[in-house]
Order: sequence, then structure tokens, then C-alpha cells
Amino acid sequence: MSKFLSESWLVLAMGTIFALLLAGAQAAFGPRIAENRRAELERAARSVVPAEVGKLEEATVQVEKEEKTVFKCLGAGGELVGWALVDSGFGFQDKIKLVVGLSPDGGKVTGLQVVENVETPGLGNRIEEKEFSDRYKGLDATEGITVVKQGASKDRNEIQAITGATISSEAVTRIANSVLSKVRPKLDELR
Amino acid sequence: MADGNGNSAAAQFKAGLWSDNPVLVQLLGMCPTLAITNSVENALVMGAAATFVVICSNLVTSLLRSLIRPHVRILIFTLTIATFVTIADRFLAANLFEVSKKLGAFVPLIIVNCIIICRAEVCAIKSGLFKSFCDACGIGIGFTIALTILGVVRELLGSGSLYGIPVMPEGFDKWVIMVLPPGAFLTLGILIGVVNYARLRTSPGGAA
Amino acid sequence: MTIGSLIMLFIGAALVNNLVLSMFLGICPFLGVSRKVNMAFGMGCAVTFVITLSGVVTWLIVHGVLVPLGGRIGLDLSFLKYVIFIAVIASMVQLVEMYLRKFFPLLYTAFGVFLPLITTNCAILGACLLIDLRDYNLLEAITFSFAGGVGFALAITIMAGIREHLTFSDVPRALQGPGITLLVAAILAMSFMGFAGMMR
Repeated sequence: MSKFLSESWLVLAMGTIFALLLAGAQAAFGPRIAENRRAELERAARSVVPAEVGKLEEATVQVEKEEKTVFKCLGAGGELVGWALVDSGFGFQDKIKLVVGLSPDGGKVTGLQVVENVETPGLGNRIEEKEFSDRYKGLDATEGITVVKQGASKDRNEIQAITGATISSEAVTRIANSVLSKVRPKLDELR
Repeated sequence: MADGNGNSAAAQFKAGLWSDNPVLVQLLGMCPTLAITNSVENALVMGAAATFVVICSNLVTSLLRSLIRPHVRILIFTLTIATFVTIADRFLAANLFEVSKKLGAFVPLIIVNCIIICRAEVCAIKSGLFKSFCDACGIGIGFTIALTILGVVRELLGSGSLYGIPVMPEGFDKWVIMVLPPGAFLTLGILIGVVNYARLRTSPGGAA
Repeated sequence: MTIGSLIMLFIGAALVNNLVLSMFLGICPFLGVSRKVNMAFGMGCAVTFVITLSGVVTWLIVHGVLVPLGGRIGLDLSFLKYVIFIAVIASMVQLVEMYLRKFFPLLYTAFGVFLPLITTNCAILGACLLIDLRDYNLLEAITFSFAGGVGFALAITIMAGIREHLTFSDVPRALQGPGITLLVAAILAMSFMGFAGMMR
């Protein structure tokens, strides 16, 4: 036992000091990090709802075994002006996190914003651009959205894929469809 | 300022920049070099993070060098590096949120970046504080320089911009492959070839 | 999560998002140990073994210890993750070393210094981090880490095969060694990119 101690006392001592150091770093940076994440989501939530959003109320709905985050977007007078649904899923490279905006009655998609992605720079990661987000505005939220490579028409609930980034575009649509079909029916619980 | 193994602190610093450049000569730390050099911003932040970690790690190792027993030294190096990497990672997530998202898992991967463990093993464990510090700075800056060269080439050709600012003329057709994995391998391979060529020519008798 | 999705996960991790050629993990051994096919294959097997074990153990620690413990004392203990991961990996490599030394001494000597170097193989830490980042469940974690190892073994063995052929070619002096290996890797990476279509 004493041999073990004499060989490893430094490791144990350093381990303890480092653990304390790390706990300190966590305490120092943790709140900012959480704040950053939250601010990013809120910014996206505001951008996908066309009306002027005064307050955002965060809620969660239980979908199968997971909890999904939903933002209730309230206008200046406290009335419901839209919903923002948060979800993530797999893209071409890795996780894609996005926010889908819904009209207050849950019938129309008012916007979509990709918040996190590590898709191919210059191609796949253009799903974060406004130009791509705009393609989702005004689509029917009750029917599935489909992706086409050319000649998309909003009447048929289609969006145009980004040239050279079909898989990323399809991934975004797949995630959007999934959250719409799973979370939309539960919105009534939160009204 | 000479120390046990004959190199002065200044020489150690210079070595890290060119003759012992961690990426281009020692061929260490390839993984982040290839992964995050698709833009200049990523390259600079990664270089800065790695430099921070290697400086802290070298300083701690050098401070405790008389206490570290041979059997446990790798474990101690790794613990030290893991701690400082975690601090750097948290710092980035708090203050440079966007970039930290792009760097993703590669910041924690600095832990297994052979460059840093190598410095502790080769220099810091035998040298005084100042020399270890200079060594760390040299290696860190050398690493950052290599990363930045790659970043500049890849971002310029692949996205037509530098640090996010569009630079290439409108009609320039982006070589997207440069920001994809093959482009990374290609650029680094050619860069190493160029560096080797320069080294072969400048050394006497053309011996490598 | 069906068998189908697990198979997709496997193919994804082994081929489409190959740890070496697409995610840039494990490059150092990829460049260093890929000279001979039998060494490369042996390294690939060792890495697959360590990566699968580490992936599972780190998952168990995160979900079995850190999360419940954190919940109990009301703290987010995720800042200890990196330190714990690397400690687990180092121990796994130590285990493999002891096992090889006892049961396969020839292989052990053949590996030499490369065996402990598996600890610094970013592919292993990378896989553990990715499993954690993507929030896989246990079955997915096992599939992903095993597939990652297989993909690594595949890439390194192919590279070794090519390099063995290259010894008969006239490679310019400045490019010999790492230079030409990287250029070959560029072409390999391009060909692996073709697998992306499989994911549809």
C-alpha cells in the first residue's frame, strides 16, 4: 500500500487539484454557455415567426420517449402569434438542429431556421442561409413536405434542394416533417 | 540561457517554428490539421487553443518535473493536458460560441494531439520554466502557422474568401473539393512535399 | 431504432463517414503504420477492439455514473467527461497490451512502440466523443464504435496495399513517405465520397 502511495501520490494529488480547477471553469463558463445556446434558439424562434414576437414561453411536449422543446411566441399584448418547434436529426455529416415556425392555428409553416449543422462548407451548410429558409415559408404544415431538384412548387408542398447538397436539403426536410407530424398534434395541450 | 541538453531557450523557440515544425517536419497532430483547416478562422482559433494548452502543460510539467516518477509520467501528462483542454473548450463555448460549434469535437481531441504530449516528454520534463515556455510558444506558433497556411489555401480556393471576407473575383468557380476531405489530404501532401524539397536543397550534400 | 437503422448506422460509420478518410481521425497511425499490409491489418484489428470496448465503457460511465450522480448532487458533471474518457482509453490499451503479451507474444513484439500509441489515436477518443455528442443509446454506441474500427481497419489496410505497390514506383524524393501517402489518401477519400449516395 505504501509503495502504491509513494508512486502515485502525485497523480492523486494532481487529479484532485485538476478536478477542482475544472469545477471552477465550469462554474465560470457554464452560465455563459447555457446563455449562448438559449440566445441562439430564441433568435431562431423569433426569425421563423413573421409577426413581432414580444415574449417567448418555453415548453416541452412528450413525443414517444423524448421531450421536444416548443416555444410559444406571444405578441405585444400576450396573444399567441405563432409556434416555434425545435428538433434535431441526422444530416449528411452529423447532427442538424433546426427550428420550425408555425402559424397560431398550426396549419401553415411560417419559417424554418437551421441552428446547428456541420454539413459541407459551401454546399451543405448553405441550409443555414436565409435563401434556403425562405423556401419553407407558407408551406402546408398538415401535409408532408417533399424535396425536388428542379421546378419546386409551393402549391404541391415542395421545396427545391440546394444544388450539390441534395442530401442535406432532404435531411432538413425529413427532420421538419418529423417534428411537424409528431409535435403539431400536441400543441393543443399548450394553448 | 543554455540548459542540460545544450539548446538555448531561444534556439528551442526557433526550432518549433521551422526546423522542428510539428506538422510539416515532425508530422504530428495531423488530425486537426486536416479537419479544421477549411477556413482561416477555424485554423487560427484551433492554433490559439492548442498553443494555450501546450504552454500550460509545459509549465506545469516543468514546475513539477522533479516530483514526477517515470512510471506515472504519461498518465500525469495526459491528465494535465485533458484538464487544460477542457478549460480551453469551455472558454471557447462561452466566448466564441459560433467557432466552437464549427470546431466541434476537435477541441477535446487536442488531448490526444501527439504534439503536446511530445513536448512534455521531450522538453518540459527536463527543462526549466523559461525554456519550457519558449519551447511551447515556438511549437504552438509553428503549429498555428502550418494550420493557417493550409487554411488560407483551402479557404481561398474552396470558398473564394479569406476569414469570411470574399476575396476572389465574381467569376471564380470555387474548387469545392478543397474544403472537403480529399482537398485537405491534397493540400497537406503538397505542402509537405514543398517543405521537404526546400529542406533537401538547403541541407549540405542534399541529405534529408 | 430497428435492425435496418442499425445497419445504416454501421455502413455510415464504416464507409460513408469513414473515420479516417472523412472525419480525419486516426491519421497519425494511418500514415505511420500503413507500410505493410499485415502490420496494418493487425493494427486495424487492435484499434477495432479498443475502440469498441472504449465506446461501450465510456457510454456506461456517462449514463450509469455521471448522469445519475450529477442528478443526485444537482450538478452537471459533464466537465469531467474528457478526463474520464482518456483515462478509460489508456486503461483499455493497457489491457490489450497485457493480453497480447501473454497470449500472442510474437504479435506483441511486432507491434513494438505502436501499441501504446493507440492511446493517442484520435479515432478512439473521437469515437467516444461522437457517441456522446450524438446521444446514441447503448446498442447504437456499440454499432457505431465497432463500425468505426472496421472502417479504420479497412482504410489502413487499403493504404498499406497501395504503399506496398508504391515501393516499386519512382516517387520524387521530396514526396517520399508522408507526401505521397497523403496524395494517395486524397484519391482514396474521393472514392469513399462516392459511398455517400448509399445513404439515400
